[in-house]
Amino acid sequence: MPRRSLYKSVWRDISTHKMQFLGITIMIALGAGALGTFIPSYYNLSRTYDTTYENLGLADFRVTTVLQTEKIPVDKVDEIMQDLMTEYPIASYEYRVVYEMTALENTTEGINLIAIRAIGLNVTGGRHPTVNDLALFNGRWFVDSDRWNDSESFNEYVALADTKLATFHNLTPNSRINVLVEGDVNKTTEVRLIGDVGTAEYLWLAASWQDLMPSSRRFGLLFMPMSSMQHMLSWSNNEVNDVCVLMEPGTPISMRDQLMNEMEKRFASAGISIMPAIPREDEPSYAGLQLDLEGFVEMVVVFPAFILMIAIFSTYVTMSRLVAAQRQEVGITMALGYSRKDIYKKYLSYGLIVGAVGGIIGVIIGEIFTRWFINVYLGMLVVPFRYYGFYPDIIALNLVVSLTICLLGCYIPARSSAKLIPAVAMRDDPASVVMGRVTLVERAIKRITGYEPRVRTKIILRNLFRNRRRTISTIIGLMLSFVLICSTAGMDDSFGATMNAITVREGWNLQVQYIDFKMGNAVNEDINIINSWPEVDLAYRGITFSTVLTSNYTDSEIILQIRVQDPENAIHDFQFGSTGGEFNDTGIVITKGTAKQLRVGLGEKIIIMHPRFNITSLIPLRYSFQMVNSSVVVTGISQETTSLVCWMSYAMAEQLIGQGGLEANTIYIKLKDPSVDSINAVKQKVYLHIKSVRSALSPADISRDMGEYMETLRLFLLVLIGFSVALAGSIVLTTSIINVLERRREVATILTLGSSHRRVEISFFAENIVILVTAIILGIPMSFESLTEMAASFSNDFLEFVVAIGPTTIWISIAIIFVATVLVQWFFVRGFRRMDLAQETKRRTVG
Amino acid sequence: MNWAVVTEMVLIETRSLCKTYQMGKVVVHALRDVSFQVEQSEFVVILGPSGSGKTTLLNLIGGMDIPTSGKIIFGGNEMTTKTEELVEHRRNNIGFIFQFLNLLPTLTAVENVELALELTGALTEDGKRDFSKKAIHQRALELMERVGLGDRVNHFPAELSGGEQQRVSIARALAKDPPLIVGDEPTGSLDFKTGVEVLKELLRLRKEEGRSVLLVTHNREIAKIADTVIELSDGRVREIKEGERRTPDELRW
Ligand SMILES: Nc1ncnc2c1ncn2[C@@H]1O[C@H](COP(=O)(O)OP(=O)(O)OP(=O)(O)O)[C@@H](O)[C@H]1O
Ligand SMILES: [Mg+2]
Repeated sequence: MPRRSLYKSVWRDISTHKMQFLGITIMIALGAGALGTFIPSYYNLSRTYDTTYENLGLADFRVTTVLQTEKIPVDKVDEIMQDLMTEYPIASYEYRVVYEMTALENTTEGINLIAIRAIGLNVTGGRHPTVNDLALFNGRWFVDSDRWNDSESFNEYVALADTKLATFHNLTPNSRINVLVEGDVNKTTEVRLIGDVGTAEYLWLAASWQDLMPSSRRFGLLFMPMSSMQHMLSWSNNEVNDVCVLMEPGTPISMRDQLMNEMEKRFASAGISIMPAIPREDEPSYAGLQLDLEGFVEMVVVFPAFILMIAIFSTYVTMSRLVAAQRQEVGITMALGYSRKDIYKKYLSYGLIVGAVGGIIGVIIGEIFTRWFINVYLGMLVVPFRYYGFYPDIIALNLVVSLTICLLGCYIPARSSAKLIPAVAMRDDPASVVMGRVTLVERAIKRITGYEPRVRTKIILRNLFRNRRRTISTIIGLMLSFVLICSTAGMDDSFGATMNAITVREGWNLQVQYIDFKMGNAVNEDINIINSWPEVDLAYRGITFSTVLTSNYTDSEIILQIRVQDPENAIHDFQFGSTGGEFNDTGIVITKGTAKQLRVGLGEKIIIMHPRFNITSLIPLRYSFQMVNSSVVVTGISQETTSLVCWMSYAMAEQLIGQGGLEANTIYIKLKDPSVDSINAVKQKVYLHIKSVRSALSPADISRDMGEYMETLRLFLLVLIGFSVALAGSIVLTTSIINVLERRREVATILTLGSSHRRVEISFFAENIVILVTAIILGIPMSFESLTEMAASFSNDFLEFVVAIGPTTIWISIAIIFVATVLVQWFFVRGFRRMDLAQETKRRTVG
Repeated sequence: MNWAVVTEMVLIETRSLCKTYQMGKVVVHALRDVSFQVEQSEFVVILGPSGSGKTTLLNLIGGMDIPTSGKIIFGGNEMTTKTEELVEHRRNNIGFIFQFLNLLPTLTAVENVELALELTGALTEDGKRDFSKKAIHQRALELMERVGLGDRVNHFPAELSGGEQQRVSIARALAKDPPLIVGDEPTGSLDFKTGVEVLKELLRLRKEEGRSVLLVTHNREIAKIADTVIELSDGRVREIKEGERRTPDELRW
């Protein structure tokens, strides 16, 4: 049987209620868009990284010396490797010279040191490394004449910079950099750039586990021909300090681990002292990116789910209100003899149209945003190879979700109307059927103030309570909009608070890091020099190095930074809380995050990996390092937001590392006046007078650096805030419109009774204020709640996000919701002025 | 069930029909123990003051509502009390003209009529049902013509006067060619002249097409055209009497 007229009315209904349907379509499109942005973005990112790793042959593991000054003879490496290649699936290996130095930069504020990791590569004949290759972005690749050659009359050092460094400092081909090979600002060596490159090894630019997120302001990479590096360091052609190994594709991890062990053994028996081989996953860059991606995975689930849930909820509520308002039409249609099935079909077709249109728009939004997001995100990371995939499964999922929600939103109210007998369906107008009654608030006002509210006030109160469902759904809609804006914008506050929390407990004003460990009395000499400066209150030594913590209670391993300091000097503000604890010479202090991950409590033991120093000969001084594991008692658990650090006293460290071991690699300085000027002045002095300094950073510098790294997260946040504001806007729009339209008849009647437009508008406004205030009061704790959820997804092994929503954010969110609601309602309430009263009251006759 | 196969003389019989509404603690007896018969091609007028249960009675007969107790026999068969099965009854047996206007606001006048026609198809000369779009539209136009709205077919309900809307609603009730036309105050919102036209149309349906008409009014003047007048009062049948069978032209109100 044809049902053309019924479907004709579907289209007509949609065009009559354009704004509501538009609002719903936008909501569902945003939900689908969020899903379609974040999940494909994750896939694309992860495949992009893999593609880059694969194309540039990221090493499966690396073997390096404990100190950068220690050397590995090339001929021995070749001998061992050639032999191992017959037994293991080694695709290739490369030896390199990796050396930490600094570069001098003259800025308007004085000199600045940039920590430079210079990497010497075998580029003979313009070859590319077969492991850890580079992708040229600007300039040109090395040619043979770039290599240092003793026979040539003119020799210069040429290098390729990492693109981030080049971009940050405006370095172009032929720019010159002055490097400090020996850490003395008075002895610089000029290096000429020939271009810049992207790398797989430093896709996430991490300097070390201690320095996981350095800014390109103060850290960068320079790649040079190996012969030039060797010449610069006065090493022979046979001397390197780093070997990278690439396995055949598909080699099992166990095989790789076996090879790593074997290599360590062979190197040791050849008398070459090396660190334990570093597998790919222990490289700070690789691990950093994986963590970033893991965090992303959680976000990818949490955020679209959050937005989708709100979109689903609002779509459902508005859709069902819209359909529920058509109850009388359902009654008429049934009275004519249409069956329930016909009715369902009619209303399901609403859902089908809205769901399909919304879903398709969502898919398009998702595609566009994914591309934009990936481009900007990868642009920030400087990724040479990009991967864009097409994900039909996500599109299908998106459409299924959108359609299901819209179909349910139509079907359920349609069913509840169609289930009624026509006589009832035709009579009842769900929007106005609820009986009037004296509200609780009204009674409360009377009891408390002893004053009987005026009818005008009563109307407002009774309206709010009359249709509780409508009031509640409006409140929830506005509340969710508020929560969306407030909690996503609050993420930004939380970033700030988190950055702050990382450094706020530090008592020092400047942290000076040496390029490498300083031995003997050199550190004390430096401390004496620093203490003689008038600005300085106190300077004390410290060691920071990265280590691995494990425990007997779990399999977890934590790579973190250990800070060795003298307890009597240490001015870190430990927060031991109610559990008590102490920083002393008998053990280690860890943070609560570390304690939780390792499942250790106060007084229990953890296992720490550390170097052990052996003096093999005093004259001439010969020493070696070995990495060993020791058990140490936890003497304190500090309540801090980071799990990146732990503390130990010098006495304890000496016990572990050995007498006469490392003196220091860090000096902490506390100033008398910690103003920016004073900090900068001391920083300049450090650069000029202290040798082998890698960096001098204030807590503010550290926060700023991390903030720069957080830019990628910020970008994500930006997208999120965009979605949130748009979604909040459409919720406010649809909720307000429906509220106003549901009341048309009633308003028409009030107006015919002779009430002025002004009074109607004021009454509407007053109702809105009550609803808005309620929504906001409920929304504030909800925002904290949802932000806590979001923060949990951002937090990782290193960092626990501090949940904070600033008062400004709250006020801005309130203002946005307030203005949006009032504007939209005002716009539609103004429509009452143009209302054809005759026509509106005539409409009352239905039923 | 199609009216064409109804062979009995009695079209509707109600037996001890009761309908109560529960309003919180109060029970409203809208109909109590109502029994009467309507024969084929009989023109019955139901009279009664406001609140006497007239609409309730029509709703029950029209399959719009279910009695609390008692039965309705329609065309020899007892009416079902299963709401879903009442669809057939409403679709095939009843042309309902409601007390209040109730056209779908988003459909034009002629489309509102087509809405009903699409359910049953347009009746052709040879008594068959034609479901083609063309036939349905043709028939809808004819019906619009018949209620005097040939020049208003493409107007939306909001663009029609109350009387015009009521006439569209009559055209819609006629569309299905039902054995029973049920009218709840169809002339209530019409002026005298149009009201007479509507009554004439209803009488013609009875005379020429043999349909039964059940008309609710509280206008005693209109009751004069009836074959039978049933008076309701407070939900009970107060009186059933023979009508005067006047022609509408004789009426004055
Ligand atoms: N859904 C309902 N709920 C409760 N009471 C109802 C309901 N429908 C009707 N009533 C009551 O039943 C009684 C009969 O109502 P009905 O609509 O049949 O009267 P009526 O004779 O059609 O009156 P009018 O001439 O004013 O249309 C009235 O007292 C009415 O209040
Ligand atoms: Mg009535």
